[in-house]
Amino acid sequence: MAPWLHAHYDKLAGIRAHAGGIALAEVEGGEGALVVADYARKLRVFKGTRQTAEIPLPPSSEIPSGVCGFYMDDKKIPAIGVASGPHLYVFRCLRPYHKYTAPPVEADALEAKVWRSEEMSPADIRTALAAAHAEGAKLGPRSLAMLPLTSESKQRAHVERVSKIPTTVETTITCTTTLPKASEEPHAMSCVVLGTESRKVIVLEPSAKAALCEVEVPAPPAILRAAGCFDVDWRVYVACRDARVYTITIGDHRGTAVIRKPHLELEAQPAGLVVKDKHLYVATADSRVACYLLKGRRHKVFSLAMPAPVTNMELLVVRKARQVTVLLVALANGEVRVYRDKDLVDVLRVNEVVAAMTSGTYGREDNTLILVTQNGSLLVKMLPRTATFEVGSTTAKGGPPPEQDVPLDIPKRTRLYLDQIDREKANAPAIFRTFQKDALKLKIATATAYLQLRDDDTANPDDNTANDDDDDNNNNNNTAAAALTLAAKVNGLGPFFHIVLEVRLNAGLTSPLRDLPVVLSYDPDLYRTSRPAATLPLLIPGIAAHAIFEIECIDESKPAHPIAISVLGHEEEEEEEGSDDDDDDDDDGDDDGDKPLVSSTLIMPQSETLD
Amino acid sequence: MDPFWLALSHFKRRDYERCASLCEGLLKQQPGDQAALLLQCRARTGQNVEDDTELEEEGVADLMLDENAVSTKPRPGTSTRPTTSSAGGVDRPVSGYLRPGTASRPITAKADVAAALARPTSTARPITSLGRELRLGTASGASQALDGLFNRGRVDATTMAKNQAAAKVGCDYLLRHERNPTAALDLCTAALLEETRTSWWWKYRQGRCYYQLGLYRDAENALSASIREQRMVPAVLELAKVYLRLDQPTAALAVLHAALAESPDNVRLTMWVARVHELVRSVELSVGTYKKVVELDASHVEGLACLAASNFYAGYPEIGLRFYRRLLQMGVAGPEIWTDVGLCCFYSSQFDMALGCLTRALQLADDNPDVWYNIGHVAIGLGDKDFASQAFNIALSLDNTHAESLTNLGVLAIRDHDAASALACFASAQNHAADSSLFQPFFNGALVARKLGNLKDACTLVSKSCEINADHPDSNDLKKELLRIFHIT
Repeated sequence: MAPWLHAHYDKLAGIRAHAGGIALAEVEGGEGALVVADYARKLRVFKGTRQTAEIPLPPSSEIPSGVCGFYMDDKKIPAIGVASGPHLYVFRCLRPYHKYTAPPVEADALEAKVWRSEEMSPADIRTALAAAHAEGAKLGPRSLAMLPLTSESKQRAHVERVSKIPTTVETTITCTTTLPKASEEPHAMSCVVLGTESRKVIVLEPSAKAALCEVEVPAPPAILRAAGCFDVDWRVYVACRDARVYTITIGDHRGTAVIRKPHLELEAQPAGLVVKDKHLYVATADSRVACYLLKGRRHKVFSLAMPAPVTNMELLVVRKARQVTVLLVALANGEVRVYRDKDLVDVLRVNEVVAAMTSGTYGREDNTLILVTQNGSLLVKMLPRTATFEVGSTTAKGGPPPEQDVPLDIPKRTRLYLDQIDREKANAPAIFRTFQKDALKLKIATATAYLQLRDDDTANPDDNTANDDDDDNNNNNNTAAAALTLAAKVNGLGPFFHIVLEVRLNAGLTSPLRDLPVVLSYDPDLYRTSRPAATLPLLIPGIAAHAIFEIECIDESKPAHPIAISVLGHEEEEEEEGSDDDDDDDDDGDDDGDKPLVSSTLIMPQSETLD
Repeated sequence: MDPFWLALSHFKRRDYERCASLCEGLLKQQPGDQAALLLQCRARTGQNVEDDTELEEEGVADLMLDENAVSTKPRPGTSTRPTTSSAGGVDRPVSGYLRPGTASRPITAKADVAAALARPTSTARPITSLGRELRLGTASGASQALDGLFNRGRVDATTMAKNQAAAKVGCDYLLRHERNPTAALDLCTAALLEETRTSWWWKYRQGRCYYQLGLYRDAENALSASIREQRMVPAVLELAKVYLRLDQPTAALAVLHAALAESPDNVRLTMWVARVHELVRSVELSVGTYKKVVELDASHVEGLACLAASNFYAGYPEIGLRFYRRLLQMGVAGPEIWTDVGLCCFYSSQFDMALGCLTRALQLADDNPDVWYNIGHVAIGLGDKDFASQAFNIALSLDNTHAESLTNLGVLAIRDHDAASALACFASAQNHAADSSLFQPFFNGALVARKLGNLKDACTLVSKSCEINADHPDSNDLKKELLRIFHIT
């Protein structure tokens, strides 16, 4: 039985947000509320079963990328930060308080110089930019737009339009999180951490007015998770779009930050990141959740395969007599799986795709799980006090699979077998010697037979399968013959038969063969066909070409007679060779002309009379 | 000496050839000599006697041309047709098709027929069992001049049926020597109008005629009537055969058990019970019955061979070895037996004898692809890849449709990191394995395709593999994994 209580379900909440767009935070009055940065450029606050506030973001703002609740000072007045475009809008007491703007990206030095010089003509600007581009300078959007413009008038118009805009480019905040400043107590001051499109991770002051420190990571961050305390020791784990997880930590002295090595290489793009005690859980786009050790060499502890792609991953800390932390993994098939370490302890079926998920205190209830689905409904699930996520206590059992305890069906040892063992023990050297001798004999017999087979093949290729590769006798012209495989089969009961030929050019050969003729030779008293020869289509290595011959048995009373099938070489080619290369051995060339590339004898079945 | 007496003596000693030629001489002198004529008929019949109670291989063409099909739905447990989800899954080849007992049983008259048959069966096309009957007829008819006595044109069935004794001889002659079931059927029908006292005999022959003509329902009626009058073992076996042909193994078992209740110690009936159990894949029952067969007749070749095979596949090669040794002691020596003994020795770690037995098998027949295939397996066991691939190549040169060898060559090619030729091997093995229950080429092909990143082909192949063998866990896992990649779950 699932332990969850269904506290609230609002099908028409109409929330449109992604994983970073919802958070549980205190808004006013010491109760946990759900804050949502809706795609409709609104900050929405839910309490209990109702929406209590809705504050529109400034009209110029973009779709919000994250929301977080934090405390700016010691007064324990909660603040909410909403990241949208380059700005972090800070709300206090549900009123706009101020706005922090992420540092814009400075244009490339060369580029800036070009734009700043006022005497340059638009055409010159374009040439200079093209040169800078060729040298590897990273151009901003205005320069990139300039490059393909060829007509003078358009260039002029572009320059005029753009020259009033500063050369710096605004960046975009991609993700947010919070990091406690001095202590980890519930209402202590905390810093907002931002990740930007300009590949920066910025730790803001608690007042969110300036940056405490910033670090540039190799790729734009996608998910941020923080641990520790800024004034003591801290870590920010950054899952970036280059499928790596970087660790940012305190630098040589307080207030600085560095990327700590080694980073974590993921096998696919990150879909979720969670830090739990000494472990880092990473969900990746290949439907796996992997657990890594935080300390030391980033050793992978285990990896779990999920039945569907992961959409969200969260931690739920169940505080009771004993603190239990479980991992919640929302999947694209509408399940939310609950893991305790690597044991699946519960599966919650939402039957809708979860778009955002968070857990924490909602109202006065500590262990609450908030789910926002893709079609905008809001689910609030609470964990009753009796719930325990004991391994094996719920429907999904943890631990080793039950098959492990089923004994393998190993046959019992018989008396006879034991007797044989005794014999073996007593005569081990003799048995070994005999065995070695016999093995050698058998190997020689096999090798002889194999050699015989190869010799027969080279002597007369009247064999069903022509042999491949390394025949030493063959010269270059003949390798084509050696690389052909011919298989024939007869369909039909008679008197009409279909002979189906399958000719395959072995994969070892690289050049294709074209228009090879195939000829049937048969006893004309016994068989008749309208088409005794055919031309094979293009033969590509490894792909079989088929040819079908219809043949009729004229005299059914006579015993069946074998039919010879031959694939011939190219006549024209031979002639050309003969005329062009006089140095070439003439006999050799003639040989090729006479001998078919592959030939095979097909034993025909007796035509069956059905009366 | 009176030549007729001599001919009789030859007949008693089963020297049919001489008996027949003596009779022919007599008939030349005196064309009206009824006694000589009948004796010649019996001699000719005797020459062509074959064991009718053997299981017949049902060719693919038979299945195609079968008009008696009842239901195409799988009926696990009550049908001899293989079902994909076998209820009591058998992991070993069913020995019903290549029955060691029939293959190597020393039969006098059959030997040359078998030799005559050997060519057509090795053609690239499956034979029908009815076609085989015809061919048996032509094979024997071609060798000897037609006597023409019982030609339909000359002798009227009704007149012939008047003389019961002669009619019975004639009926057998028509069935066995001339292989003309239509004429024999005419005679049976005529005789049944004349005779009432031994009508079970005629009904039995009638049933056989119908059976050879492919009229299984009529054969069933005739044979059941015959059994109702007089329960005779051959008739019961024939009826069981008819039921198997109709794919009604349960009915066949019922008939056999009814007959067994009357004569519980009959070896042939017990044997058939075991065979039917084996055909419907109830292995335990089958093995139990085979054990009973061997208890009843300690030198029963088929029983011993089946017990040996089942012990080998059940993980007791040492016990299988005992049975095979007993077969060898009984004088049943062939390359197959020696190969089996060799394999048993190899797998029960009797290494000093294992390879010697395989060499012996090679000496007896070095053109048997199966022997080379098994040598290849032993070579794999020894860890010698070159040796193994040589053996498989030889097996392929002897039979280029040997799918098992092709599959193994493919696996060896994978070991050599030659994915392209491995795929080619698997592809041709898949072509040749299309009508058998071999799923390995498909599964292995899927693995290679998966490794090469060709997920679509891998998925197609593994689906085929699952179709053939629904119980193969690795195929199922691979299929699940692939479907997960395609998000079709």
